[in-house]
Amino acid sequence: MLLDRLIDELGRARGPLTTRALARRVGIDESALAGMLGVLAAKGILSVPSELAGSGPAACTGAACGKTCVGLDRCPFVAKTPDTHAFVVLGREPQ
Amino acid sequence: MNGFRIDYGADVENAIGRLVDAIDRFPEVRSHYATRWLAIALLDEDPGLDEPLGRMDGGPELVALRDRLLAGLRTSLGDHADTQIVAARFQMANDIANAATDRTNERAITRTDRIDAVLTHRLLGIPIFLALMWAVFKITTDIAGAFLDWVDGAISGSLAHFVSSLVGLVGLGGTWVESLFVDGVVAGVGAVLVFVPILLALYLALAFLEDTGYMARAAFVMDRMMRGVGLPGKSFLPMLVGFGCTVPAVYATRTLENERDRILTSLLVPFMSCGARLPVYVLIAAVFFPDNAGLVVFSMYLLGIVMSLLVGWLLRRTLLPESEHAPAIMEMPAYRLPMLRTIWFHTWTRTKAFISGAGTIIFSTMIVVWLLMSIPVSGTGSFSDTDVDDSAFAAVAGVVAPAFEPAGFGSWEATGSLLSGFVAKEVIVGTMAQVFGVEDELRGSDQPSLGDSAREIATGFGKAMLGALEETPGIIGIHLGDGAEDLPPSGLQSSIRQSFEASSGGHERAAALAFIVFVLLYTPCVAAAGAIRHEIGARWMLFSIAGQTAIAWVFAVGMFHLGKAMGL
Repeated sequence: MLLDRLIDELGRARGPLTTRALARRVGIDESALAGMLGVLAAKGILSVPSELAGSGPAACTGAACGKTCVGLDRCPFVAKTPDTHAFVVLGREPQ
Repeated sequence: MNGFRIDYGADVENAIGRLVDAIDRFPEVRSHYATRWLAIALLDEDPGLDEPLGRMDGGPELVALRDRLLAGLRTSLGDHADTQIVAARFQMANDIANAATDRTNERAITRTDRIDAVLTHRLLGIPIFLALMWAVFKITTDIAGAFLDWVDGAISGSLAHFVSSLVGLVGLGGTWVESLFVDGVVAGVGAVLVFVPILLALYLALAFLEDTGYMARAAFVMDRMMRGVGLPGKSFLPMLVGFGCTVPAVYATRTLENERDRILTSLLVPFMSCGARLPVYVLIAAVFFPDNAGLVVFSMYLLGIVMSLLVGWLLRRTLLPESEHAPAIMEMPAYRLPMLRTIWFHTWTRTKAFISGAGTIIFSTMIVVWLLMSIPVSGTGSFSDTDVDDSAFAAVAGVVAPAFEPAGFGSWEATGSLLSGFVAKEVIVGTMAQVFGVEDELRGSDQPSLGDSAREIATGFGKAMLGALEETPGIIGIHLGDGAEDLPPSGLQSSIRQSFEASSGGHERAAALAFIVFVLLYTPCVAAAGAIRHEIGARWMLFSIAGQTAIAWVFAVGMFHLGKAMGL
């Protein structure tokens, strides 16, 4: 099955993977892979890095930005790495 | 689509059949949902179903039956039970897509693939990353550096004269009020604002790399390297943030799931060279290494990365043993031509935050420093009219100064700057501007007219533009001009050089390197320490402050002696 192949590939990986490379290994389209990774994350097989929750404007109070702090989600110093997400396998063994 | 049905396999189909039979027995449920759809959704543990079903006749029984069936499936299918339904759906979708899609004209290897093959190459990736960073700092220090004298002239010349005249107009010329505004605010805050062109250029270059899609590749490449020394690869994302500001970088460690990884990354992030340290590097490099300023600044950034890897490796083998790290999967955006509007937005918002900092915490700190420098604790001076050597600031800094003698910068001026730098790193240059007393020469000069000032600013800008254009080919090794037009060192630069010469026994360049190594490695600022306390606790914060200060001192002393041995 497709999903098993994907989980096997994740289990075999020894370094970071791009979704493009993973999609090629599994033999599916990259956009389809994104959906599958999302489902695996929802099932708890993969984890998605937690959002910067609870980091509202108060989070940086006291920093050089002072009252101008807009919170992490809109902090100008947070480097923008466009459309980059990372998933981590939570310990499911490859079949 | 008639007859369209996904086969979920014998075990799941059997469970679906039993649920369909059960649903058929409850008319209220049946009237709301298609039976097979509901059976599948129940087995897929659709989170939106339990609540409405709970209100219907037979709903709780169906949920209980689903739980029993799922338990059975988990016994028979093992780990596959949770994904069986979705796997079948994806398989079906993939089969349909393959049957319906003509991919003959689709290019197997795209342009992005070809670029990625080089930029994220196992061996080439890191050298390319370092080369790009080197180019960024070359642009920052050489091209933007041409504008420093222009801004410096406008602030310490025209603006200082204007403020001085204004204070004189209200009858307070020559009093402590003039000293506060000219020596404290304009000299201190102005010395920090002088570096706005440098920060602007840095943020511009980084925004350019981000918008092209390269920074995602940098994270990918560094992930591999960090994993190599036992660090969580994902730590590099907060570390990238640390190049801008340590405080949000510490908060960005929340993206790491494992607590040990969060602690480790929070301890390592402060080693990354934040934007606030850049003015210090640029100032010191301009004084002592004017021909290699870009290389000196780049080396500091590189040393920060190396130190974080080294300390991380050490902590992994002692206090924070390694936890298992599964590989990260990163979605790389396609490369694209950067959009000017986006680049400018990021550049300006970051620069604006730096300027805002100068107007808040730096402003306040400069006033405190001025106050301490205005209070005489020895000699015959009075408030605001005392030799700085006799001031409270010199007395306090003088107590700590001997600790830095082995590093070659054991003067109270350098030590005092480092002490105030604990508040914020930009404050170091502001404090230096105050303690080296460059305002005295400015106060003694003739007051230019408003027209003269405007002319001076305009011609200064023209010269800066010309200087920047001359420096641009230098990035690829082509040097225009013979350097004869280089300006003589400013009063601040001469004073810093003399002070380091005196404290280092003639090895001022070795002492200067030791000084910026210390600036790189000791606690970034009080706000960063607060963020660490907030995220991982007071104990780790104290550990971080003590550890970083000790590491900074050891490396500064080592750097000084290495520099001396190299004849610097």
